[in-house]
Amino acid sequence: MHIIVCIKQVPDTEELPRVRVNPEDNTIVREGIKSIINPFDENAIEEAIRIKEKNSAVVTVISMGPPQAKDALRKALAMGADKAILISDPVFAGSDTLATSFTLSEAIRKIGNFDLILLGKQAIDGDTAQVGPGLAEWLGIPQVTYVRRLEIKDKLIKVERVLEDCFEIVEVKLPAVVTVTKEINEPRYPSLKGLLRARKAEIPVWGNDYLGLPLDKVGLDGSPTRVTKVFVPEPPPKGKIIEGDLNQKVEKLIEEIKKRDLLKWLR
Amino acid sequence: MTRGNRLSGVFGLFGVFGSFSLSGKSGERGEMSYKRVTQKIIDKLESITGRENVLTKEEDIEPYSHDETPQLKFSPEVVVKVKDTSQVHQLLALCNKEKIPITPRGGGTGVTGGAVPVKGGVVLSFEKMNQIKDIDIENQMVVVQPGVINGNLQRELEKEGLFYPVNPASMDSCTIGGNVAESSSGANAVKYGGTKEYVCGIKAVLPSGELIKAGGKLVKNATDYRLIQLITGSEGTLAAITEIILRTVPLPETRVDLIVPVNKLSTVKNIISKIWQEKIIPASIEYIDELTIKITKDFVQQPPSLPVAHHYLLIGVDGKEERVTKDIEILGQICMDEKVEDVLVAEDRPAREKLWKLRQSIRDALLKFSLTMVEEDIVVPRSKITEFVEKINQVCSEYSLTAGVFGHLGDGNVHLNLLKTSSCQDEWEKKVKKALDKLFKIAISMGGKISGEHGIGLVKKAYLPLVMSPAEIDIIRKTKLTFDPNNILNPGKIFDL
Repeated sequence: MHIIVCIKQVPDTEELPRVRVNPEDNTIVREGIKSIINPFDENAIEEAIRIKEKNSAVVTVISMGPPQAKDALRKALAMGADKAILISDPVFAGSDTLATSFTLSEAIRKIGNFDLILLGKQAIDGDTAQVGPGLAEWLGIPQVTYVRRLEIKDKLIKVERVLEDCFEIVEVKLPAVVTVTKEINEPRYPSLKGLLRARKAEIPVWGNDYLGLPLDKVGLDGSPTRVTKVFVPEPPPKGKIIEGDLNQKVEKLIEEIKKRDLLKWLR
Repeated sequence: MTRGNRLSGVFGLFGVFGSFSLSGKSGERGEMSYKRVTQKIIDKLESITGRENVLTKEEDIEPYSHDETPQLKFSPEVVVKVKDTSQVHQLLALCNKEKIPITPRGGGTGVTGGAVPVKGGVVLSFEKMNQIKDIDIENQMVVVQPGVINGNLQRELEKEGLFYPVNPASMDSCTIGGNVAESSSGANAVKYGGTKEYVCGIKAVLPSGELIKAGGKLVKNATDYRLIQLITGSEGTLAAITEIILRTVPLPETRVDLIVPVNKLSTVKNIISKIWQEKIIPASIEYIDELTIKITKDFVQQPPSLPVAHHYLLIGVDGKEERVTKDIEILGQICMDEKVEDVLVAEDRPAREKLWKLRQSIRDALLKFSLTMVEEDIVVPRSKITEFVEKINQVCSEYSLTAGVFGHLGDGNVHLNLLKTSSCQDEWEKKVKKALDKLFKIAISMGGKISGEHGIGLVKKAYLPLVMSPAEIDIIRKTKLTFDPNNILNPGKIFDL
């Protein structure tokens, strides 16, 4: 069995106050910002490794991004992935979810045989949750999103999807694209042995020389999405602090609750 | 309201009124002469700090009647929240004149009853004196009021590229004033030391109301009787600290934490001694036993994924990237040589935070597991620490006691938490007492002491004569009386007068 995991390197959320937006093209300025593997993608890596441990699969991890995304791939190798490939080329810069999923799908075609493609349900920076589904469309294979449990049954997988008000159990024929939620597992810490091995690992970089994709389908030119404005939202209005002694506070609180009809949902 | 209304449980037997009484003088001295807080006093207090900063209602003062020591509670008569040094000065002068006990309080996260007002009277809360007054980058010093939360200070300093390495597990609720009063320490003490290594200046008010200023933004200072060191760790019994100057260090470029699951204590011992031989100084060498990990993993949301083992070492290294990379390679080799199956690496922030959140949740998890808990904080020379942990296991199995054992192995400091699993309280208490007597004697024979970082406070007071001679106790008693002749400041703590 061959599992491909697509991962993205994202800014560490702790760094968000320091993240700047380039006013010219509305993209995030990543220089000097510490990066991590998108947390949901870590769950995808973990799931792939667990399947590998149970069913003797081969796990290939790919990432599309700038050269420093190799760090994310190395961590995936340290966790137990077998191979890593970086998809990187200046012509891919500025890709939206359409161009990204196209580029990834072409890279996956180049890799060849695969049974399962795993991704996190969404990236914590863009939050679009579109690359997984886009990938499935480009490849013309089934997709199941928001998966919190996954069971391999020969050429089928049985998965449990998290929906707003229920769980949905679905069986899907392989090959398929699956995006996973945080609940699916707890990612392991990479082992030191794995880390030392990963440090020395050769990670091939596939640029457009190798992939040969039409320039109007990649990067900014291949991206119909235009971000017209990025702005920092206004902080939500401050809560009201009720002053007074305990009795006064309780009275005022009841008054406020009544005035705003806050308990209407109880009726 | 009853003065010193005591609602205690287990410590009544062998903590506060324990089997060791201090020789000669009675603990009653002073108490007899304390006055109650009258309406007249309350009026005066209100004129000092303003009405809104004086609490007298039962529900308002309840939070100030305990710290985090299980089942220990004494109500103050009044709580006063101060805003500046001048108010502290007026308050102490008033209490001293009126002979009213006054207990300074930081975050109330202590675990030996240090901030609990045993004799009633006034609780002096520093929660409103929580300003970071000056971050002096050039001198790498910071000037803070005592009520600054440790974690807030750390985050502010980090923005300036500075690091205050003392990180008690309660860092997000304990205050710097409390840290200084208790001479607290944290998981980074192996490389960086504890609070006492960082205090360069103290502004404090004596019980008489006089203000003293010791030290300054000075790395070196050999001009007095080490007043700073005397006040640091005095558990609020000598003076009320109103300003602190702390030294900081440059923020390390990077940090990596290693998790080493081990099955034999002898392996732990070998790993630690090899770390010293290799001349590596990790920031932290923490130890957690199997039971503690299990209980804490059940307690926290989304616990980190850890393999099953009898013992866990958590080794943190920080510094320049290249150095850290090299250190973890050497540490990895040490562990491999000791046949440790594998070492896990927490490199990026979320991974490390998850791990430290687990470490910092241990105490709450153990308390949830067994609300009746006796916790000890024994320290021995660090070469003896694994031997001592071995003894803990032996003694606990001898008395069939359940214990969660964790701590700062690299500092020779271990937290032994005896958990009540049997239903009979009396029998359990008896066994705990016997086991602790035995373990204290063992620790002392190894050259150890009964507290590494939690202080003596109220609940370890009875054991002080085990580790201090009459002459030593006499000299600290005389020191106390020099600072506080009327014994109004945090009376009843550390030793009886």
